[in-house]
Amino acid sequence: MVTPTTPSVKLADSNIIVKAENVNKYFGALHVLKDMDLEVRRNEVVVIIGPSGSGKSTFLRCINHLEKINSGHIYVNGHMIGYHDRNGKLVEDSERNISRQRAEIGMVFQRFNLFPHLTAIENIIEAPMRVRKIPEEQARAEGERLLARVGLADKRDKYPNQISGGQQQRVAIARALAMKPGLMLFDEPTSALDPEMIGEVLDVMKELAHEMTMIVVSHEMGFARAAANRIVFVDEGQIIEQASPEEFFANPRSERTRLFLSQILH
Amino acid sequence: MDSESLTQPDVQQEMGIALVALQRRNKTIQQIKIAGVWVALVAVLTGGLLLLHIEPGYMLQHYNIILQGAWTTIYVSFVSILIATAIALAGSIARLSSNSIAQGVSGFYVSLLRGTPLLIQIYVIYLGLPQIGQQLTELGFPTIGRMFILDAIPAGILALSLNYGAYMTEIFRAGLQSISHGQREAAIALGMTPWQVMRRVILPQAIRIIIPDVGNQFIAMQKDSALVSVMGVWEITYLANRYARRDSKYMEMFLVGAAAYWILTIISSWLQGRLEKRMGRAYER
Repeated sequence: MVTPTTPSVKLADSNIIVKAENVNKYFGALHVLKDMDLEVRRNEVVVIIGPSGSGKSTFLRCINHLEKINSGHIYVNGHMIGYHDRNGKLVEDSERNISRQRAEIGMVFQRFNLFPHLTAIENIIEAPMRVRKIPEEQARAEGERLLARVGLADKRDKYPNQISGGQQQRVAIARALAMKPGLMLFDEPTSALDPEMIGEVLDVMKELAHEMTMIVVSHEMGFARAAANRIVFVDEGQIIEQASPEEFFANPRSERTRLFLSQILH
Repeated sequence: MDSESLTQPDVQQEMGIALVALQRRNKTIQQIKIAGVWVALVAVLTGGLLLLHIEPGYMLQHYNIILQGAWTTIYVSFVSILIATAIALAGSIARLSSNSIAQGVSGFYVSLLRGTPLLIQIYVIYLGLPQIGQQLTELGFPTIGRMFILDAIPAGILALSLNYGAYMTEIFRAGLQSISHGQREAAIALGMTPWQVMRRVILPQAIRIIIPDVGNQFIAMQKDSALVSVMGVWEITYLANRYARRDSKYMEMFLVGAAAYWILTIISSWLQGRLEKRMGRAYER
């Protein structure tokens, strides 16, 4: 179905923050996302799980247009992301437009990707100052508040190299929050961490889950159980099933889900 | 048992301190030995030269002439490395861009300037360009024509800048490419524009990688600037050559000239080391 040529689309329900329709994505001949559909409502916490190579991270990266899609539509806050419709054909937006959209979406990466040449506080205030044009003093005050919130007020002037992986990831979360995004994407945020540091990052995320719209790609079933409103199981580029955590873990409907759960839960 | 476990860490710590002190002492002794070898080599060379009737008196009388030339050498190299750096920055961004015109132009430039000798480039700019200027003047564009006739020093700076700019474009390109893709992704995910990503995230990190190579290029350039002596620029090599011929004191004058370059590069290396140390601040644990 082709949407009208207006860049903004009135969604039936204004509480829907993310809407993906028939999203297809290829890496060369490899069909990584097959007609993916997903709706995420305001303040919902959706955890996407699935075997590695299932396309879950790729899908997440399409939501802020770090990956291009080959067909379908993704809307964030009612605006199509990365593209506009011109006579039924998708045309990629200008870099400036895409940047503006990305500023409203926070992202946390598996490998933290903090800027190594900047201190913790400098990492946090960089985008608010450059993108939002917030004065340094105000950005710093806000940044320090965020650092305190992730429990790292004392690491303010440390460089990423000087703090642990778990601390780096918490700074990365603060950095994303500093843009006051309406949506947070987490791409396997604890997969690169030593086991003893996973807890501190998940604690921060659980805290956030009370007040934010979050889409989390993760293997942490404990977190999914505790913080998710909905679990989405993805395999081979398709959503196999989605349900509340209670329902999902107690009564997985599909055979593939049962197999995956038996492998991951031992 | 209790007292033993209490004292153990102290003993270990003391042993550690002693070990570090020993290593430091060994390193100092090693450095003294190396310095001794340098002094011995200089002594042997000096002795040999004295045996061959080199006149140290002549050298002492004329070193101040070389010193005057050193200022020109420093000036030409310094201005050239600054311009070359600017060219390299633009060239490397162009080489990495998705724009085919930018890619084509920068690739052509690098290939042409790296593929031809610096000496010929100097001749083309100093002796070749005025020919074009003359023709433009004949065609009725005297103002543009005059721009093609360069004095020796601007011609030398232009040639060195263009030549080193090409080599340094490749150095900058490698430096920019060495920054992990995740850095760019993190920056654009925060809503930064491509220009902000380059200016605020990629470039500051790449510069740290590039600086040692720029230092090496600067040192190489100080010596390649000797080539501008062919245009009669009064720098170290030209002056050494001039007095060597006048007084038939070739060994004396060229040794003084060589020493001047050597001292310049030693100073440059030292400055380079300090700069690298400063740039590495964020990476110390």
